[in-house]
Amino acid sequence: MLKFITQRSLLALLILVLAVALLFAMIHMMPGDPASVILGPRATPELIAELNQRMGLDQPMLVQLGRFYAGLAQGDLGLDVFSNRAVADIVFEQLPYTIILVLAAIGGATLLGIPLGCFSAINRNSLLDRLTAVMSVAFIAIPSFVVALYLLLLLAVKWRWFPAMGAGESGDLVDQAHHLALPALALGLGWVGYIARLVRASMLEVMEENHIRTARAFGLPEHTIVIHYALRIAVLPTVTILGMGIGAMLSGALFAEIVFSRPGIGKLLHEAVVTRNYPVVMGSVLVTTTFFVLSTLISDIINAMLDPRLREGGRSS
Amino acid sequence: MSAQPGIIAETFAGVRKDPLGMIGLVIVVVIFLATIFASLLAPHDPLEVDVYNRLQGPTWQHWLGTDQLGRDVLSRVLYGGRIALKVALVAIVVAMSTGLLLGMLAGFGPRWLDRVLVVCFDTMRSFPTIMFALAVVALIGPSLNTVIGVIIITSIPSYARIVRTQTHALRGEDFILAERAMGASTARIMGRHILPNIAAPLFVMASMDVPAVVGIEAGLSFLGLGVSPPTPSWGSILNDGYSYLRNSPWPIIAGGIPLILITLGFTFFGESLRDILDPKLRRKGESS
Amino acid sequence: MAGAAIAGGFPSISWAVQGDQLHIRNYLDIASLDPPFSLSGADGFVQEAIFLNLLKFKTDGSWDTELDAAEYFEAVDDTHYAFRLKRGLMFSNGFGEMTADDVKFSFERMIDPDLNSINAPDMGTLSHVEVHDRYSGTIVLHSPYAVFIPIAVASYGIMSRKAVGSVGGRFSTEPPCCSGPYLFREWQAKRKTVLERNPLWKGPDAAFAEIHIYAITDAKAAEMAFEAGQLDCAEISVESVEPLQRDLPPDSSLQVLPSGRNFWVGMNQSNPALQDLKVRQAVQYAIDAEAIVEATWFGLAEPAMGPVPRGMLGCRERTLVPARGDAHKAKALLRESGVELPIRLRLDIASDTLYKTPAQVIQWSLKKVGIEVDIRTHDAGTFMTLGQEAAGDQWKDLQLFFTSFIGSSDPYYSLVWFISEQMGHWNWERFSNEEFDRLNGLAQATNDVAERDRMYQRMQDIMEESGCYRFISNGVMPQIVRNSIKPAFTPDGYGLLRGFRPAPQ
Repeated sequence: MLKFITQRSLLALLILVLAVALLFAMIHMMPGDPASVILGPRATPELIAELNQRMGLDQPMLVQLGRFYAGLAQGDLGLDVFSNRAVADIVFEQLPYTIILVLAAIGGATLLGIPLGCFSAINRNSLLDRLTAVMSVAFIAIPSFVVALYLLLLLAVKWRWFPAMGAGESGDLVDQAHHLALPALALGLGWVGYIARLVRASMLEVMEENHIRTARAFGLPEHTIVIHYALRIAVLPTVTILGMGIGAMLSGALFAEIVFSRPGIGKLLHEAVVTRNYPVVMGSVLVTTTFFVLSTLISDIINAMLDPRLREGGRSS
Repeated sequence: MSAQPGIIAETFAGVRKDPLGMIGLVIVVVIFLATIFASLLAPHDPLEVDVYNRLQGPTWQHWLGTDQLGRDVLSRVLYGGRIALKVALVAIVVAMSTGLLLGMLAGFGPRWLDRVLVVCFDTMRSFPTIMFALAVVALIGPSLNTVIGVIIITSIPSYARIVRTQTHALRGEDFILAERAMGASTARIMGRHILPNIAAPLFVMASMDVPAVVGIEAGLSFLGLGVSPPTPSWGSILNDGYSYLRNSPWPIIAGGIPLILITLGFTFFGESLRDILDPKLRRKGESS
Repeated sequence: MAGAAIAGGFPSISWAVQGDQLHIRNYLDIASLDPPFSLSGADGFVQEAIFLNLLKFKTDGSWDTELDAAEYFEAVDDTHYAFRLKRGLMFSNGFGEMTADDVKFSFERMIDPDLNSINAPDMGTLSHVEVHDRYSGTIVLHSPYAVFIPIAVASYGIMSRKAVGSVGGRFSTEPPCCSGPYLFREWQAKRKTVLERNPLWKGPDAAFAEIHIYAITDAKAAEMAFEAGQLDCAEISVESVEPLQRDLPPDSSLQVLPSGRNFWVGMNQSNPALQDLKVRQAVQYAIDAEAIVEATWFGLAEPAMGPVPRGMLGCRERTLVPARGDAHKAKALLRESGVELPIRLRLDIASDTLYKTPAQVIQWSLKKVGIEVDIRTHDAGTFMTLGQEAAGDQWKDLQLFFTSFIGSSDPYYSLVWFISEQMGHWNWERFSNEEFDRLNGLAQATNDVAERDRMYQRMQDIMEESGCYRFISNGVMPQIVRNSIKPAFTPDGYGLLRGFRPAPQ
């Protein structure tokens, strides 16, 4: 097991290193010198010279890359070209909002999905079960920004049950939760059916197993069995799937933040792209990619803890 | 080993039996037809500006209302399908072909090449696609072709992996070894044996991929980073609708529906396909 | 303020009364509160509350001025202005009493070549300031400059020589001291600026204990913040006027104020595709300004007579090219020019619905006469640099562009950006006409109202005759206000913080 974890972690690290290198190298693949690429249309000769000097852009690329890695190790993501603030500061200022949104979405989806899945497993082939089956397949693929737009239109603009923008008053938790509801719903809705389906499948598997049968034979009440045994085991596959879903969630969070005018990495990234502010773009993408790789790693490890077959040589597919 | 016509007939029979699959197929076909015949079906020129009739709700003249410039939303939605399908077709075909090539290389070629390619694939897959697209757009500037290019690059690894897995699995099979012993060239082996076995999972994957690809283009156009005005894309219709949300909800309602439909259609159909083809694959002793 | 002219321009004010606090929206974050370096109206908006000028604009909705720091201000002749400061005006942070020497410092540094202020042109023909005694002096110009009072005196504040010197001769977003009814307290980058009542201030202008000025660039976000009760007055987007009128939030009212902005389509005549006058004129005739106005301003604005808005000295009575345009004439002009159709032109705009909507109408109109248009959107910051020589060679590629400049209290400010000297700065059309330049110089030097009126009208005719300009509209300024506030606006719809009061209950 330890070998597996080490192997996977090293691989994840390697991939991250390469991903960083790729993002960094992209500047050099563009026509023109890196400084003009970074500054974009605002590149005056003075600004170019200043940027070259400040960021050492006239050095050979490998040297620059090395310096960038060295900086990364210290948590330095470079400087915002226009405001001279540290990109790391800018990104980490916004990150908490996005994380809260993603967590809320996952939390909401799990809170709805697990009971739904249990119900479906216990009441197989009921109407609800079939509906869930359809939902699980379909909803997850619908672009979350479409869901967000419809929710905005109906629940915020037309019926005014929820606010249409912002994160709420800082310090006022209820208000913030109120502002969080729609974006989290938009992000998590697709996953409800999917999680329910997963929970159902693994519950069904587990419920057949011996120790459950034994418990039943001993006359333990059904709901005790469900809660103590089956559910505990059933939740694990959900966790691993969610690890993989973080990537999609991060992209979805971007759209949710824009549709609902929420602060966060998504909004930051969008603004940076529109103003062609590449250092901030790169910093944001790096941070989100790191999250993604980490969550995939964790989910792979949990998966392997569940299913020893996956630990042997090579990759789960 | 030529079982192709048989498989297709069987597949169809299987889909017909599955209600969701049928629904999916019907939706897909309807969307295709509506898009291809958009010029016949669209009641107006999707670009025609008529400012004095802007932001109207549905009327007999304009079944889905008009946008902020008085353009007919229904016509724009129909033509928007062309962008969606063009992106899907180009991106998936190119990604699939390249993935096929690279996957077979990885599966059949020397070990070191396989390792390098796998690491490359995994690196590309470590970026959430939209994030990578944004990074590229920040450098090059927005355009539809940029979007297509990014989608291709980020899709290749998924196709390549499937091909690689299949190739790996088949590599050690008896009949392959036999053919090699008889002197068959790699190309022939790949063409006659590997390809037919890969076709099915690839096809399933492609059809499940369409919603994702269309969703990415729509998303980027929604952010203003895809098509440029006045080209109608479902995403850009949503973008316009969002700016004028309070004046008329119709552009948003109308722009979202085709996205939902195409997603449901291809997903149902793809799931159905997978359910049908999977058991077959399992019977042949391959994991998918 | 030269930069204030540009598309992004002035702030919109939104504010909330929370007890004794005022929560206000600024549509851009401040760039610099130091007068030589302030870039836009977003800066001016804050400066108006914290700095005293010799004269300031009245808060009654006219462009009239009244005494502010000065207790006496008169033009001795057309190159000398005598002033005497009120006694006892104190700078904050212990920097002492305001003296005539501070006035000298403030004016002269605007034209100091070492400081290289971008707002130096607003000082016109300023030469120097003579100090007679502690409180009085005379401002001396090289030659007459008719708009000295509104453009220079009433628009720029008095700084403390000692205070500015103590921070090295210049500052950006954090002033070393203030003198107005409000004092600067803090600035949170990209979020807000906070002001507090000046404890030494005597008078009604400091009506609130605190003012929080939020940098909200998105009109829709501001609208929703208003509806959520977080802001109390907002400039809203034009497309929201109707929905909000139908569904007014409680205790508020909507005002659609006239605006002095100039929205126009410019053509870079140095670009090969647009060098032929007939082609430019064809573009002018092809564009339907009425349709654009309808689509963009929902009938709330009117097609413009020119950069100078209605109601102001120098406004024309008719345009040379009819507002609706004339597609037939446009096609005829293209035929006469002999150019092979279709031709492709680029239209550059900043990305906001205020520009995107007109751009697509323009695209459609030009398509109908055989000109294919590619629309290119840029963020506001990038857009500002497109025609500037200092930003590189990209100005050569400019063809068509649709943009807006803010106006001010005098027609001078609507037209000065198009003189030959401005080529490479704000004159992106590379328009150069000797008569135009001469008239500009004459009009800014004379006080004869009838003369100036005639000259400014003629200048706009010359602009239109050159084919480089198609004037579209002057826009409108829709504001939504909470009934518990009594706001104060300039005649072109911008807020004056010092004039805001809680409404009488």
